[in-house]
Order: sequence, then structure tokens, then C-alpha cells
Amino acid sequence: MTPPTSTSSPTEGAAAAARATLDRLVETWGRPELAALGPEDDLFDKIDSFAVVELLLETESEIETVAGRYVPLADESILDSTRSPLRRLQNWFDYVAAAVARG
Amino acid sequence: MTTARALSIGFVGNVVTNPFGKMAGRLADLATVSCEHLPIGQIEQVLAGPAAADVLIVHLDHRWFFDVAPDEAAVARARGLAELVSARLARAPGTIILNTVPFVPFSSVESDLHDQLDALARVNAVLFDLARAQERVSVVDAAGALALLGFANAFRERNRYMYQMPYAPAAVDALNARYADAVAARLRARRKVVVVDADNTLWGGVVGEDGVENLEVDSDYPGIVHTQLQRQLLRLKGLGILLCAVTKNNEEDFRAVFAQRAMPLRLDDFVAYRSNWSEKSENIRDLAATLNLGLDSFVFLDDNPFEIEEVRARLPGVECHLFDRTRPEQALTLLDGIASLRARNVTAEDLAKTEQYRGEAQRQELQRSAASMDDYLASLEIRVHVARNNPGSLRRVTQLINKTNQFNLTTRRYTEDEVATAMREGGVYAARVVDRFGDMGIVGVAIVRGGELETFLMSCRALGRRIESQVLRYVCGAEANPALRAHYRPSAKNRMVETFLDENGFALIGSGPEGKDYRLTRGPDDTAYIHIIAD
Repeated sequence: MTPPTSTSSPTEGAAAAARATLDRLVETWGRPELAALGPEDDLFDKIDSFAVVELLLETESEIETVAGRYVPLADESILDSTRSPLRRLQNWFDYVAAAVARG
Repeated sequence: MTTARALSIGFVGNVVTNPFGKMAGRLADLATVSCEHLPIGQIEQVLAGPAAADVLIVHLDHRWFFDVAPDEAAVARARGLAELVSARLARAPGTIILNTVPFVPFSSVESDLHDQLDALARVNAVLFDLARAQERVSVVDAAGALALLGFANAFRERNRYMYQMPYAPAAVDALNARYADAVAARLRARRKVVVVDADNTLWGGVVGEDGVENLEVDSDYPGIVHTQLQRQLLRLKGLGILLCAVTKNNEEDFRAVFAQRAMPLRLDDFVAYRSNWSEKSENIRDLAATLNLGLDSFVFLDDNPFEIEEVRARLPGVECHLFDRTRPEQALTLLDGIASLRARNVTAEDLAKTEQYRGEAQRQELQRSAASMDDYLASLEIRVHVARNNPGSLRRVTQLINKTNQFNLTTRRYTEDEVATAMREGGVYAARVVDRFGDMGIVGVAIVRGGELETFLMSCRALGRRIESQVLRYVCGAEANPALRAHYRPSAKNRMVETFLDENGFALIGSGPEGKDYRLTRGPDDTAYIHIIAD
């Protein structure tokens, strides 16, 4: 994924930040197989709920750095096994981008 | 090649503890750490259950103590926690780390706010009392760590309630730093000495060029920077750190500053100093020899990068820090930031250390000038105060037992509880040595139980004066057991005591791979110049 540049839109930047955060955590968790996940893949089934919380916190922090403000990402859907945006990786990036767009 | 020690850390809390596992990386140079995250919210069950880790980190945010506002019930909850922790420590090994409660009370009623602040302080006070009473408890200042970040930046309230994780990543990092420090303070030997440069460090200016009266060390900028550094050094001295100075100056100029200027530090706050034109590395090496301390006990502060590099290159064991007087915001946080000066606590013995090391330096001077070794030893006027089964010495006795490697017949380690048990079942002797140069504190321990000398050890700083033989002679007399048994158990470091019992009136009755066994015969000879006083 291309890192955010000065010409990236805020939503593109947010999605890239979400991807970069996931890539970084994959290393921290020692789970290299997760780095190969594509946009259609399900992340929710592959990590436990503590990792989901960590992903959320780290993504919030990364977004704060990129967007220059704190954007809460927490939502009751995230840990919901049927509705979680993490069921499809692209949905997660879109979810983050939409949260940033909403402000 | 050394093998890193294995250390298991368990985490339990009323928040998700997984992000705290990253603290293991901060301990990589001290231990191979394995982490286990125990079920969230199961604090009582974990504390009451079997011990599974060397270190148990119990992280509690305010919601464990109270729902909305700190009150008397929160203080009672803290007391309950303290009781659970004490009970666990009484039956299981390991260390427990707790945290101050990060919370800012609010109220629409001022008096209620005061009551809340008071209750919150008392919750924390319960934890501090626990840490004072229990050597194996640490309390990290989570509230302080998060306050430094700003609570608004540290907390994520939505995440607290939705996911049981109230902290932003920066807050987790800050907490992990505190946890790692608390563990490291127990694993790492604390450096003992801060060696400080004088010109442009202890004071602004160069005494030999500017003159004593023109040096900057007062209450206005920039002199206040140096005054503050001196105050910080004085505080460190109060926390058991030895102060030394090295400076490229004529000695009379260096001394004149202390004689003529009113400053926080006095010359006799330094256990030793070197004011001459030699390289600073040479002077620090000389100070180490005088104090009988390794170079890895030293921290060096200087304003001059050249001097820092000179010492760093020649004495790699010395930890060097640049004191930049032009950046007071950094310079005056320097000492607080030196991790190797941190400790879990400071015992009375640690606090007396400054005097003890100064005394040691004076003894060395006397030894150099004495006609013979016997003349020197006799002139020391050594008195040894021996106390039997004194609970007041429990902490120091345990500390000495667990850190003495060389003059230690059996290298058997004990917890405080085990020493207390030995006091009930036998005799635990603590030997405190005083001579004309000062009080060395408790430097020797003997434990006798069931007709057996289980432990006999002496701190290295008391050796070379035949005190050890005289203490053994006293213990043999006090036990009045003509069949007293004793043992030498070899370790990697205690070769120096291999023949101690042979030389002090014990007969060898057996030996094997585990060591040698002895029985008392005539016991040690009297050493006339050492007077034993039974306390």
C-alpha cells in the first residue's frame, strides 16, 4: 500500500495509516502470515479480541498522528462477530476512512 | 558467554493487559522474559490461586476501587487488596507490582471534592504502606506517569467502557516504562557513585581563571542551574549515592570555592575528590581503587564532551552523561533519568554508606602510614556488636544473605520469612562493626539451627581485619554446643572461604562433591584487638 503523501486525500491517508498500523502489529505479534492478507480476507477470525483492541488503539494513535486530531474508532460493531468491519479487511480500511471523514 | 536469566511475568487487571506485554522488550538486556496474561477481572482469584510467575503485575484502574468517586469503601477495598497480596506473599515466592490509581476527582461541591481527594490519597497510602512492609511489593506511579502525558492524552474513555482498555498507546508506553523500571531495579545492581566535574558543572565558570567570587552558583540564572544541580546531588546522597568530584584545577582553588561560597554542597559531602591535572579517567580509576568499588559502580557527569569521550573510551564500565548548562530543562532532569541509579528502596545501611566509604578511604590512609599490619589493626579500635534474633535487623540480614557471594560458607539464600523462621527455631546472629572511623553497619551474619552452622558470611568490606574469626568465636561460645557442625559448600565465587573452618578450630569429618563437613574442636583463637559487645 502506498504511504500517504501530501497529495493524498484525508480518507486515503487514513486508510493507508490503518494498513500501516496493521503491518506494524503483524510484526509485533509475530504473525507474518497476516501480512499476506488481501482486501477481501477476513481478519476477525484470525486474531483474538485482545489483538482487536490493540489494533483499534494503535490505529487511533496512528490516525491522530496523520490527521492531527483524535478520532475515536471504537464502536460496538467491531467485536461483533457478524457485523465487525474486520470480517473483510477492505471494510476495515473503509471504516477508518469514514470515521476520519466524519471527524 | 553468560546465560540470560529467565523471568516469567504474569499480568492481571481490570483492564486488558495484553499491551503491557511490550514491557518485556525493555528488559531484554537483563532477562529472557516470558509473559502470561491472566483472565481479565480475576484479581482476587489470581492472588488467592497458585503462584505461576516470578513477577505478578496487578494493574487496576479506579473502577476496581470505586464506581464514581473515591470514598471510605474504596479505602476498605484497597485494604482488602493489601491483605490478599500479603497472604499470597506469605505462602508463595515472587514479586507483586501494583500501581497508584490514575484518577482526577470532580465534584460540584468543593468540600466533596476535598473528601474525594483525601480518599484517593488514602487508597494510594494503603498501597505504599504495603510496599514499605513487604520487600516483594512494588508500587509504580501510574498516576504520575499518565499525568506527565496529560490525562486528556492518556485516557480513551470510550475504549475504557467498550473494551476495558482505557489507555492510549502513548500511555501504555509510559506505563510499560514504569513497569520495566520496577522490575529492572530488582534485577540490576544499582550504581553507587556519581562523580561530578566542578567548573561549569558544580558551578558556572572556571575557578582558576574567573576567581572564586565570580563563579555562577546562586539563585539567579545561570547560577541557579548549578545550585539546583548541587541540591539534586545532595538529595541523591540522601538516597545512598556516594558523591565524588574530579576536576582539572589546583587543589587549593577547588577547596577555596567550598570555603568561600555558600552552596548546597559542602566539601565533606564528597567521599573523595581529585583536583589535579591528570586525565579524568585516571582520577576515576584511582577513586575506584580508594573506595574498593568496581568501575561499573560509577556514573560520571561533565559539561565537556571531550572529557566525557575520554572517560567513555578509557573506562567503558563508567556510565557517562553530558551536563549541558545551556539547556537547563534537560540538564536538571538528567539525574532523575539515570535508570542505573534507581532502587526499590534504600535501607538504613545504604544511607550510612557515605560515611562508611569515607571511613574506608581514611583507613587506607592510616594503613599506608602504619608501621605494621598489627599496629594498623590495633589502631582501628574495632568493636563488633553482635545481636541474636533481632527482628529489627531482618531486612538488612536478608539483604546481606542474598547478595554476599565471596565470603559465604554455604551461599544458602533465604527470604525474609525464612530468616524470621530461623530466628524462631535457632539463632540468627547479626554482626555490626564500628571502628574509630565510623560505623560499618551490619556486615556479618551467622545462622545456627539444629546444632548446625547453616550460614556464615561476611561482607567483603569488613574483611582483612580478622573480624570474621572473632565473630565465629563469639557464635561458638554463645551456642555452647561442643559438637557444633559446620559446612563449606563450594560455589563459583566462594573459594576464599574454602579453608576458613580448617583455620579456625573446626575438624574435617567428611567431604564429597557437595563440599566439606566439619565439627567444632577448639574454635577460633581470640583476637585481642577486636572487642565483641553482645547487644
